[in-house]
Amino acid sequence: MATTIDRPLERPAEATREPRLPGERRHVLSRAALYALLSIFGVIAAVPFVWMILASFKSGAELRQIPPTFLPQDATLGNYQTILNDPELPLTLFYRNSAFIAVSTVIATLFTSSLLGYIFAKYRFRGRQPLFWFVLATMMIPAQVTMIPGYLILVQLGLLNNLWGLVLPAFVDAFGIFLMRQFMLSVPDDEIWSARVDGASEWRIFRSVVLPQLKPALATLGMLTFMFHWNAYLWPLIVLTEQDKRTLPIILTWYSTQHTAQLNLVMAASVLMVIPVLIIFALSQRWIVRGLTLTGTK
Amino acid sequence: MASATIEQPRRKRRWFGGREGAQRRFVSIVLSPALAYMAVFLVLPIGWAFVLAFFDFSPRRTGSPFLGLGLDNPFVGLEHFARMFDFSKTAPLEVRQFHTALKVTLLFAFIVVPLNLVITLPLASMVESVRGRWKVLYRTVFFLPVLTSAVGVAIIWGFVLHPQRGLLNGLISRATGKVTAIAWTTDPDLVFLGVPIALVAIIVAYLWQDIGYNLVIFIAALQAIPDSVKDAARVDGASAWQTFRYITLPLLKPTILLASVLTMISAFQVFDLFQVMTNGGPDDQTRALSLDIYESAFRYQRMGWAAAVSVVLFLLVFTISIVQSRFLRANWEY
Amino acid sequence: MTRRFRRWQALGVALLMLGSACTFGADEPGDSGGSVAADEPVTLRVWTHQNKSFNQGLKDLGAGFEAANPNVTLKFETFDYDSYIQTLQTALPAGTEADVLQMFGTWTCSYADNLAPVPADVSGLADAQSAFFEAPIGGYTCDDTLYGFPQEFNIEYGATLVNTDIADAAGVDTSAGWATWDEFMADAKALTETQDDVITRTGYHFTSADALVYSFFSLILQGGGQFLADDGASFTIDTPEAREAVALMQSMVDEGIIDPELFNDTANWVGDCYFEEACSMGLIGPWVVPEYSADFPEVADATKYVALPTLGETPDFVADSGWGLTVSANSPATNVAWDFVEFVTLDPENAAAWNTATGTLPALRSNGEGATQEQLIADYPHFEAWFPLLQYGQYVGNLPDRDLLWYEIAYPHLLGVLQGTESVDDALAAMESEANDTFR
Repeated sequence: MATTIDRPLERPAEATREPRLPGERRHVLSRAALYALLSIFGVIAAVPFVWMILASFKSGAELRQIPPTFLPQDATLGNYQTILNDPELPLTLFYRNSAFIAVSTVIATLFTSSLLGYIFAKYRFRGRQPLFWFVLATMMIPAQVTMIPGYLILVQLGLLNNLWGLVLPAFVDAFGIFLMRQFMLSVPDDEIWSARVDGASEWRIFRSVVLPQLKPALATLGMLTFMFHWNAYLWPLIVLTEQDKRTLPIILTWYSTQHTAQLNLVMAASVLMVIPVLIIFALSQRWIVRGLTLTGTK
Repeated sequence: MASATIEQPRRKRRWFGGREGAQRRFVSIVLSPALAYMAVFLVLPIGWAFVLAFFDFSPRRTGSPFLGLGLDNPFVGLEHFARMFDFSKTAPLEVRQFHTALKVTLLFAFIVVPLNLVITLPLASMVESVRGRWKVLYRTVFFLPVLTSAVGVAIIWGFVLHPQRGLLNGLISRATGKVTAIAWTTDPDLVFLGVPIALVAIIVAYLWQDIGYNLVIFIAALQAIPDSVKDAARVDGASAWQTFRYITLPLLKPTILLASVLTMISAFQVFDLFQVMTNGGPDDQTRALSLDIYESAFRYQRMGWAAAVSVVLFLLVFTISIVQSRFLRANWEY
Repeated sequence: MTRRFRRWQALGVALLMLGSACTFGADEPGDSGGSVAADEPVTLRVWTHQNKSFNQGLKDLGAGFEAANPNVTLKFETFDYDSYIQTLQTALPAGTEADVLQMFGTWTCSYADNLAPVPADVSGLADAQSAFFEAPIGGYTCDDTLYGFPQEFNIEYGATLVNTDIADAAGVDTSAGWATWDEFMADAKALTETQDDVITRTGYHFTSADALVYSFFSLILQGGGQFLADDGASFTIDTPEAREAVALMQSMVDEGIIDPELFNDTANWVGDCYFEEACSMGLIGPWVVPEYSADFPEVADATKYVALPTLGETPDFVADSGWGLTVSANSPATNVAWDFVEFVTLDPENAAAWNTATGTLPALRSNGEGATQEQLIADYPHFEAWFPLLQYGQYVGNLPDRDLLWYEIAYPHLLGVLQGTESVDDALAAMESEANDTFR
């Protein structure tokens, strides 16, 4: 796993180099300190997560003990059974809503971003630079500015409480265009031009010459877009007010305010919401890390 | 700009002159719907927000057919902005809440950004100097919170800081042997160096979630520094700290600037944590601008006023971006 | 870029802008509702807020209505409380609301422009006022016009939850009630547990948002004061009666019965606090018991309501109307919608069935006495203390923005006084001016 992530800049194994350096013993000591320090930080970073997962296996009574316990005294799956059988919490419905929004947005964004990124990277037309700067500039605009008119627009389009109301405004993504353009710059022009010489149409060039080379970029953007929309909170909170249309983060907040006295249930629900993200991360972590690495932007 | 290098040389363009029409068509077919779309979903909202700021607009009331403006939603000119400068104690509630929110947001952003950098930079160089599998492990541990939804983060931290059942009070109770029930996120009297503890709690949760992000960026930047440079310094007898201070840090400067600006911009917009962890409390001590705008616009339907506040937020973010833009510009092509 | 291309783009942009601009005004409200013939198929949309037992109770009644009216199909759409308010506020002016709207009485008048008045053949105002308790029907009456009917009597002040197990263990007998506030406070103090100077169990929790605000306004009434002018157009909050109310609440904090920093709306909210046994007594309406009894059966079994003492002669209290049903003026089938509302709210048997299903107090006077009262007490023993109080409820009044007054104005200032961050003078003056600002 390590090698794939660090591929572009992998250094030769340090062992081959270290013995040449002076002060080796001090070095060993400082390395031990380094690992110790990192481990302490790592534990601090991991504890809230672990605490949540452990709490989801505790009974309500145990969770109310003062002072609290760390490890479950009497681990139970009861919390999960309770929330999975709660008629007020049809989780499959909310998973479906979230997945519909995240997946359709990913498909739309990948299509528009690759196409527009390609245009910006490989075509010359008047107004290209200002347009590209405009696209970049829109990334700077706080969501709070466009949120109110965006809401009013959706009211006019009759898309409130409609999952498309979340997908439609996300069709074109400035960050996606930017990311794709950056990747596209490294696609050699020669191939495009030789395809043209062979008489391929512009669409065909895009489809069969450009797109295949964008696979890593598409994977990165796809993952980031998925994460963003799966976790999105503010905009869905505004657009989807009907209970049956809501997405997981909003439902989780609602559920936690309804059950403040049963944190064991809330913790179990939180774990269930995080799991898909963890799975996707496990499957795709090399792409995400590389994507962030390559762009350096949010 | 890099564009110069990807253009086809002039003579080639003449060679394929016959193809130019097809290319032009392709560009316009792709670009026109995209531009039209951006006009509706990017330009129109921005323009509309600025227009709304000059109206006393509420969707509760009936306006004219044109964007619902006019009639019961009258034009008020600069009144919203003028009211923002009413610092008297008798100023309307929403004005005082705006002042609080502005203070909270600035405080939050100016604490979060330096802290973030102070933590992520050394952490990144530490992770970077660790070997293969360990590196992945540490990076994963630090990066996982980035992927967790902020709502999940807020709920986890709300639980950690719960006065009776929280981990933190539990640890303190155990350490001191006395029952401790500190209401970290709800007691307005808890203030540390002028910063409300509830805000500190949100800052901690935000840092916990956000650190992995800059960490990855810094690791990438560190990897881009050629080993030969560092090795040379080490051979010359420089200590690890000296190497970091005099070699690594200056080389990282552009990345640090970029990261600080991006972190700042996002810090101004944090909403989820504020709403879910404290919902602005106690006593509006954590009422951030984003929360203030949301509440005004959607809970109390004062959209004109909320739009005016959002314009202020925009100007703040914009000013900060402009101030840093000359650093930024050099790094866009990163 | 060629000129043709640019013009084409400009055209596209212009068309799209035009297209979106044209739709404005298309949905103008005011297309008045209609009625449909007797057996024409009708689908009635019903909007409610998310509440398990409320919605189940309504759906059960709805099934009976559908059986009696085969041409009618009911479609329920639910919203959580916060977003329901938000949705109503924007949907009604835009005319996109459902046919039947569940409404909290106090909100009704702010939406009256877009609601259908009750038709004379369903009920006249005087009939409704004698059929329902004063407080609940008050919310549905705007300028002497009736806009709907309550299903329940929302009551938050008058009696307190008492955990009898804790009281027995502490040797406190609450069965006789309290004649004075001093007696009450002595018991509350005896029921408070402190460890290392930290209150681990509060004797009487009244500092969450609703509890605090209802206490404040009710105590003002009991002291003989008022806070809303008769014409309903201004607030007077800085009064001797208000100071007396605040002083009483302050004395409970000073006595060490409660720590308003550890116990308030966000930390240890009274419902959670009581059922987690961190509160021996707590001020909250009886609706809370069914919400928690499934998860905390032992506490629910030990739960009793005991009437609070009064500052004056009678146990006057401010009440906030209650949940009920209204009909949209834009509904294409207002007659069918009213049939449904009448079926649910005016039929004493159906109304009682809903109260039984949801564990709420009846809004109909006839259900607040006699056999129905006995049946409700048999099902919900904790109702016993409440029935004698219902007649003393005074409707809070048609406020411009009830939630704003409650949660952004009154609660923060009252809590500020009790937490010691604000002086009584400042708090009352600020409440008064901020409350009057809501009329703007």
